[in-house]
Amino acid sequence: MAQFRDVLLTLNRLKAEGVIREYAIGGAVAVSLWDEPVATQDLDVIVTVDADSPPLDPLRALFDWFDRHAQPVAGEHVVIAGVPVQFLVAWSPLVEEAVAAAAEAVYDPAEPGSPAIRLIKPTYLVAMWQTGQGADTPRRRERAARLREAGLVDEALLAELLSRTSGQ
Amino acid sequence: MTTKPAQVFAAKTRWHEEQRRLPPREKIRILIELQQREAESNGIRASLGRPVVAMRPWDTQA
Repeated sequence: MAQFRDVLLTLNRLKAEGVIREYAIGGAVAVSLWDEPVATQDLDVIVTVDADSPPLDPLRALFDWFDRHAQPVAGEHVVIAGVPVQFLVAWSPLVEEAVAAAAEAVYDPAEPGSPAIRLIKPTYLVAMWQTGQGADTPRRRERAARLREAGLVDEALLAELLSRTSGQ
Repeated sequence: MTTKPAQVFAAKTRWHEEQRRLPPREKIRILIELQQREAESNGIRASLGRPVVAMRPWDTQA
């Protein structure tokens, strides 16, 4: 059976081969890894791409890569090692900053050579939900509350991010 | 085993803190287990005439 680490190896390979510039995991999986695990359907991966990527089709190089490697696509997900992955291009300067500032951890500290996993930091997750169009949903507000309850949100940084991005 | 509410809640708080400190791989293992339970619970929801939750467990291991 496939292993989740294979997803991480694929993401790291995409970066090493220049298909994407950088990636970071967001959404409920990021919340699960910062706080306590919750059941969620898919894995949100936010990527940054080169500036010369086609503006109307910025994920073209990514999907061409998956096509070349016979990676199955199911609806809006690429299925990597049994995990439905939704790729999203960083949709604002705040999100680009969140990807660049993502935390990097070792997936399994007990396993020598375990791949790295990049996670959007909690304060950026909350800022993205509060500023993204349509992202401020009851479910995301509940996730934000969980991150705050766990003491993971830097309120001073959040205020700065929100004031800085109010014009974006 | 205690039945004093303060001790029970303190123990729950400690348990949640321990859960938060687990390494990523262990959290992904729990996440997949929760997906499987959610999918199983859909059978119960359906039998009660309640809406089911969209949930398809990942076909992978942590």
